[in-house]
Amino acid sequence: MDPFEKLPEEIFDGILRHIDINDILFKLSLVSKKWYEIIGKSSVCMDKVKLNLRANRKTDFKERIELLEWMSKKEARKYVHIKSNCLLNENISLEFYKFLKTCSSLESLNVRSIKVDQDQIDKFDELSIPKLESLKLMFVPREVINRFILSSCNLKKVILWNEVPLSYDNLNYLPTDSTIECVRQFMLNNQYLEELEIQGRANFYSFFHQDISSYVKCQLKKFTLKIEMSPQLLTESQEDNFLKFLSTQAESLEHVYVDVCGKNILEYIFSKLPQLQSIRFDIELRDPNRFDVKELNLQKCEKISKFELPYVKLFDDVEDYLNLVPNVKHLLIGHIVPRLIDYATTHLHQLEKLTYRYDDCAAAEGCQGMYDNLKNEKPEINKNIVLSVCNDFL
Amino acid sequence: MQTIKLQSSDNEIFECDLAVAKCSATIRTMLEDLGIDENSEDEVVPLPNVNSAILRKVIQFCTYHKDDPVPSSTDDDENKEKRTDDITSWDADFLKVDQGTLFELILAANYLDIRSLLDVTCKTVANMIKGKTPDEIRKTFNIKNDFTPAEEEQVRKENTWCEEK
Repeated sequence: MDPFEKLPEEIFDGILRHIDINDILFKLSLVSKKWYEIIGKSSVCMDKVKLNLRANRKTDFKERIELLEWMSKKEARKYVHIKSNCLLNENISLEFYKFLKTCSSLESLNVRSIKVDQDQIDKFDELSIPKLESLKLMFVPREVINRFILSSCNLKKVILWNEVPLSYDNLNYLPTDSTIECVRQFMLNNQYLEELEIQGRANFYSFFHQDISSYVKCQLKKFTLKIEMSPQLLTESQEDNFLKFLSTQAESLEHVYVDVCGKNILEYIFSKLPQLQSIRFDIELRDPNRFDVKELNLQKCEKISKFELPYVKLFDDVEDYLNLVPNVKHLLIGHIVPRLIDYATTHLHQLEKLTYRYDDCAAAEGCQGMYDNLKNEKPEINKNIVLSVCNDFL
Repeated sequence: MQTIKLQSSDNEIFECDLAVAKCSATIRTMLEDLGIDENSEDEVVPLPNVNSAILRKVIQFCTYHKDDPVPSSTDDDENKEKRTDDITSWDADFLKVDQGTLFELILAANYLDIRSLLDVTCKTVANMIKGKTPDEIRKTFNIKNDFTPAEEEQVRKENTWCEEK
């Protein structure tokens, strides 16, 4: 008789804790059904595993459906983490959705692409994943996003990437009544939310086409908004709704990342968020969105330690911003120029890391050389800065 | 030195140092909660889940380890794979027992709540599993493979989709 059958589950955990996760999966779980089952229930073990629904052969949908059906059975493993990073067709999307309904232990879910046959949209019915804390969605249709964001009341981190690969100016992004209601419920239900990322116009509209500030129960630490549209398209009421939302988060926000913003949003972020430590503005100060930072009512932010300004190219504009963040430690900018080195070494005494995005080797090497010379010539400057290039164009 | 009497499931009475008995959190709680007077010599603590052969081994283990520092429970990271090559030679010798006894010791350590004994016995079992194929594991513990070939194939496929977090 299997001597392990007598052992309580928590002792099995005590043994599994000493064994490599790959051995647990590829050897131990093949010993017997009982072992497979115990391993599937073991939180020590399942917490180390991520189910990744990639396929070796992209077209092998039949095999994947069979396996999903097998895993949906009662004795299936209690997955804690699931990631699906392949493009699913309509059939397997639905099977995957059904499988998720059986995953009562799931805490983190990352889905890249779900396809829905509009005739079958009703089959994507109510979803409950009560322990879900981290949710990341990309290329998921709106109706299904709505199911996911209402699947748990314990969400801590929600990242909603684009619904569709590309967005166009002439499409209608207005949210339906049911989407508005889902966003309302989502904000009402999730008081533990700490990180929210909204990408794409459809997602932006679904949150900020209306004023959600009175439903918000969370206190976010990190907020990211990447809409990738020209600031001229942002309506006054959307801007207003967004600012009202920010005002509900003013006491907790530590990290803010926005791309579409005009003067009002900029002013708000700089002057009304006392906990703020890190800012990224993906804005281009270019006509017709050009404005003079000096003319805005911006306060110095002593607390900002990380500042990213990847698209502001003219040094005069960069300088106007840098005057506002005297204690910055990490700085990301578009271009590196000698004047910036000059400024940073004499004004930014806390700066440790200066990253620039454009890989203009000659200019960059020139700046490094200039910095090395400065360090020898002027002993009073900040000598602790590391210069590096960050190529994020891929 | 203060002693205490422990009674095994088969009614054998063991007299041992109070300090030794207190390696067991279960016995500590019993003494505190049940108000068994540590000074009354005649009081006997019944341990209905541990037989005399195992209790003798447990007392031997606790006598040797009674002065060990108590490990802080906060620093053990639950998710980290723990070492199994740090079993001392005394413990290794102590655990040179048949498989039945080893598993009984695990159960006793769990029931009596003796962390150090539970930890070292679990490590020993983990060492018996490590590096073995499923079939070798089955032989070691006399386990029957009850998977059909089709089911075994499904488990294999499922595992190819799993990766370390």
